Amino acid sequence: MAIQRRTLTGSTLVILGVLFVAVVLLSNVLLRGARVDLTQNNLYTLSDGTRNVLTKLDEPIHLYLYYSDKATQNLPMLRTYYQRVRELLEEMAARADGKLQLTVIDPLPFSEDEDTAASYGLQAVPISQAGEKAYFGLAGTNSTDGVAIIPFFNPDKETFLEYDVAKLIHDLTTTKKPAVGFISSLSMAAGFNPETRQMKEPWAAYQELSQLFDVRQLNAAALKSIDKDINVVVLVHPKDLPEDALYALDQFVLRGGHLMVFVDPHAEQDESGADPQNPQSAMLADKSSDLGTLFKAWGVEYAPDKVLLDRTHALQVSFAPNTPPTRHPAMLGFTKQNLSPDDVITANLDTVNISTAGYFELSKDATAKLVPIIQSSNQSMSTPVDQIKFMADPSALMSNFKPTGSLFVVAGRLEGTFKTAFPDRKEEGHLAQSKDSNAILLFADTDVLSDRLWAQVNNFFGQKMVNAFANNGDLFINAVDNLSGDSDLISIRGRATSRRPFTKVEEIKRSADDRFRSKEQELQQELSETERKLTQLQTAKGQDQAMVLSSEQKIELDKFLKRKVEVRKELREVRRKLDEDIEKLGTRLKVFNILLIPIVLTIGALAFAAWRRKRPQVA
Amino acid sequence: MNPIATVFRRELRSYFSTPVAYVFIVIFLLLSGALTFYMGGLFERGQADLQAFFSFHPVLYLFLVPAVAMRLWAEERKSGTIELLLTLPITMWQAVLAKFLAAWAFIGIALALTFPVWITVNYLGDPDNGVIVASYLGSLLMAGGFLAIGSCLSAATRNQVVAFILTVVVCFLFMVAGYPLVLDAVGAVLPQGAVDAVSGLSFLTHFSAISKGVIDLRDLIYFVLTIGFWLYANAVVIDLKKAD
Repeated sequence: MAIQRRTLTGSTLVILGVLFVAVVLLSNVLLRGARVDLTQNNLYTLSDGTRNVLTKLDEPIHLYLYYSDKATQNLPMLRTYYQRVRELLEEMAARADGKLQLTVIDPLPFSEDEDTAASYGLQAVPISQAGEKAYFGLAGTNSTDGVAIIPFFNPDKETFLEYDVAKLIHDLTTTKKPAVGFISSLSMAAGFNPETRQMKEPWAAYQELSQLFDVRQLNAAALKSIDKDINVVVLVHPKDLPEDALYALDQFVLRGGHLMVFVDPHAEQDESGADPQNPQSAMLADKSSDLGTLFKAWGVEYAPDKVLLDRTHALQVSFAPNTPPTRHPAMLGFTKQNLSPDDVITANLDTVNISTAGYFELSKDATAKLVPIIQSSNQSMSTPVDQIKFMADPSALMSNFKPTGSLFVVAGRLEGTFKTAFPDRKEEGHLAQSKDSNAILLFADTDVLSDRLWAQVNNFFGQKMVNAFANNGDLFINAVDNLSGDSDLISIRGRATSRRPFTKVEEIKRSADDRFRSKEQELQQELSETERKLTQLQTAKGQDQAMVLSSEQKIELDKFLKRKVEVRKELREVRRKLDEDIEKLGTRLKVFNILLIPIVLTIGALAFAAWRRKRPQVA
Repeated sequence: MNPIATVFRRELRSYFSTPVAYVFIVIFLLLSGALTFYMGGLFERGQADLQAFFSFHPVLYLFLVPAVAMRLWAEERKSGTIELLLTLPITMWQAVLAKFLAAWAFIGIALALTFPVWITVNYLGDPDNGVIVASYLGSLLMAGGFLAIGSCLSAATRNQVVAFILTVVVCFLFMVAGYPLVLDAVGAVLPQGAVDAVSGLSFLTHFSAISKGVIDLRDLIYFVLTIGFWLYANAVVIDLKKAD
C-alpha cells in the first residue's frame, strides 16, 4: 500500500511541477497590462500626451518591431527590455482605434526580413565577443512612404522609451514638418572641417531640431525677407547683422512670426579670431553677440559685456588635468528652483546647464512684459566679461563675490505688442506695429546649446547615441515646439529624467565652500606678503653686493622660509577640510546604517535574557 | 482559535526565545549595510535611490534564507517532535503553511529593520519612494520564494547541513535560471521551448522587474505560484517520509 501511495504523491509532484511551469509561462503571455505603477512620475503608464498623439492619428501607421529572438537568447536583460518595449507598443496600438498596426519580426540572418530591416536603415548590433549580431529596432511607415526609425532600443534609455516612440509616431503623422528658419553665426550644423579634413558632427541640439523640424538655413548676409511659410525663426549668436536682415526679422515679428533669440556676452563656441599662428588672437577676439537695434525697439536691456555669476549654482570645473575641480560661478547648473514651473517649456525639466551667460532687463519705457523662464538665485552678481576671458582661476571670482540679492533673468518670454525698429522705411507691406500681441523668446546664452553642457554623444555598438545629463536639449526643442505649436510631445518629454542627486551633500559643499574660501584667501594673502618680503630682502642683499648675509638678514630669511612652509601647510589643510565635512557625513551615515540597529538589538537581547534569568522560574 | 494562527505564533515566539534569531538578524543587518555602503558605494554614487541596497539582496538571501529554512522541518524530524506536531488537531497543509508564514514573518522583521537606509536616502536627497516601496515588496516576495524552497528541502532530510547545502544549490539555480550558465546546460538536452520555460523561472528577472517600481500581476503570480508549489511539495515530502 505504502508503495502505491508513494508513486501517487510522487507523480502528483511531477505533474504539479509541470503545471507550475505552464501556468507561469501562460500568465507571462496572457496577463499583460495588469500592473500598479508606483513610480513618482508614473513612468510606466502612458501619459496624456502620448494618448493625444494616438487619438489624433487620422491615417494608418504601421510599426515594425525588429527583434532577433534567437540571437539574444542568452541576454536576459535585453530580453526583459524587449518585453517592455513590445508591451508598450501593444498598449499604444490598443489605444489607437486600429490606426496603429504593430508587427513583430524576427529577422533571421540572410532572410528577406533582414534585407527589409536594412532597407529601413536599421542596423544589426554586435552582442557577443563571437561577433553575433542582433536587431532590436523599430521602423514605422505611414500611407505616404514616410519612414521613421529607432535604430536600436538602448536599455539605458528606458526612461525615454515612451517619448521616443511617441515622437516617431508623431513624426509619421505630420505630413509636413513645421518649417523653422535658422540663423546662426556658430557652425552648429554638420559640415566639413577644413582644419581636420573630416566631417564635423552637428551639435546634438541641432541634430534633434533637424529631426523634428524642417530646418531652413537662412543666410543672414543676404536676408531681405522671411518666407511666409516659416512660422518660427531661431536666431543664434547674431553678430553684425546687416540692416536688411534686422528689418526682415523686425517685420517677421510684427506680422506674428515666432522668434527665438540666443545672444551671449561670451560664446565659448565662437571661433572668431582663431588663428593657428597666433593663439592670442582667439583669446582677445570679441565673442559677444547683441541685437541692439531690435532690443531697443522692444524695450529690452541687455549688456553684451556683462557676465552673470551665481554662487549657489556654480558647477565644479576642472581646468587642467591633475588639478582638483573648483567651483566656477559663471558655469551654472540651474535646477528646478531656477526654472519656471508655470511655463510649458520648463515645467518638466530638472536641470539646465549654462556657461558665461548674460541677462535681460526691461528698459524704463518698455511696454512689453518680460516673463522669466530661467532665473538666477539671489546669490548672484554681474561682472565684466574681460574678467572671465583673462582669468584662468575661478576661485578669484569666488573670493571677490558680492551678491546683489536680486534675481537675474537668463531666459524669458517677452510678451506684448511690438513697434518697428525702422519707422523710416517705407517698403510695400511695411508694418509699423504688430496687430496682435506676440511673444519673443530670449536666451542670454548660446553655450546652453553646445554638447559639452548637456550631452554625451557616444557610440553604442556602432550606433550614435546621445546620452543627456542635463535638459538643455529638451529646453531647446520644447521652446521650438512650443513656438511651432505642438504641445502634446512636450508633456511626454522631460518627465523622465531619473537623476536624483544628494541635495544634502550639495548643500554641505556650498556652505563648506563659503566657510573655507575666506580663510583660504586670508592665508593666500599672508603667503604672498611673505613671499614679497622675502624677495625684497633678497634684492636688498643683491644691491648691497654682499656675498654673505648679515646674521640679522639670515634670521629674518629663516623666519620667512619657516613661515612660508607653515602657511603652505595651513593652506593644504584648508583644502583638505573642504572635503572633510562630506566624508564625515558619509562615515556618520555608515555607522548609523550598519551598526546602530545591530547594537540596539544586541543590548536589547542581552537585557531581555538577563531579565528572564532573574525572573523566578515557575515551578 | 485558528490552528494556523496558533502554530504561527508558537513558531514565531520560538525564534526569539533563542539567541540564534538575534544573531541572524544582526548578521543580516551588518552584511546588508556593509555591502550597500562599501561594495555598492551608496554614498559615493550620490544618487538618492536604493539600487545599491537592493541589488545585494538576492546574494544575501541565497545564504541567509537557507540558514533560516534548514531547521524548519529537519530539526522537528531529528528531535521527533514532528510526530507531536502532526498529532495536533491540525491538517498537514495548515502545519506547513503556519511554519512557513512564521519563518517568512521573521525574515520580514529582519528586512524591516533595514529602515535606517530608507531614512538615509530621504535625508540626503529626494528619492522616488514608490520605487522603494515596490522594491521592499519584491525583496520580501523573493525571500518567500527562497524560503519555500528551503522549507521543502528541509523536510526531505533530517540533517540540517544537508538541507542547507541543498537549498543553496537549488536557490542558486532558480536565481540564475535565464542566464547562460543554466540555459546552455538545458539547451544541450532539451528543446527550445524548455529553454524559454526555464528562463521564465528566474527569481532575478522578476525581482528586478518589481524593483523598478512597477508591480506587475505576472510577477506577483510568479512568486505566489513558486511559494505555493514548493509548499505543496513540502507537504507531499512530509507525507512520503511519514511512511518511513
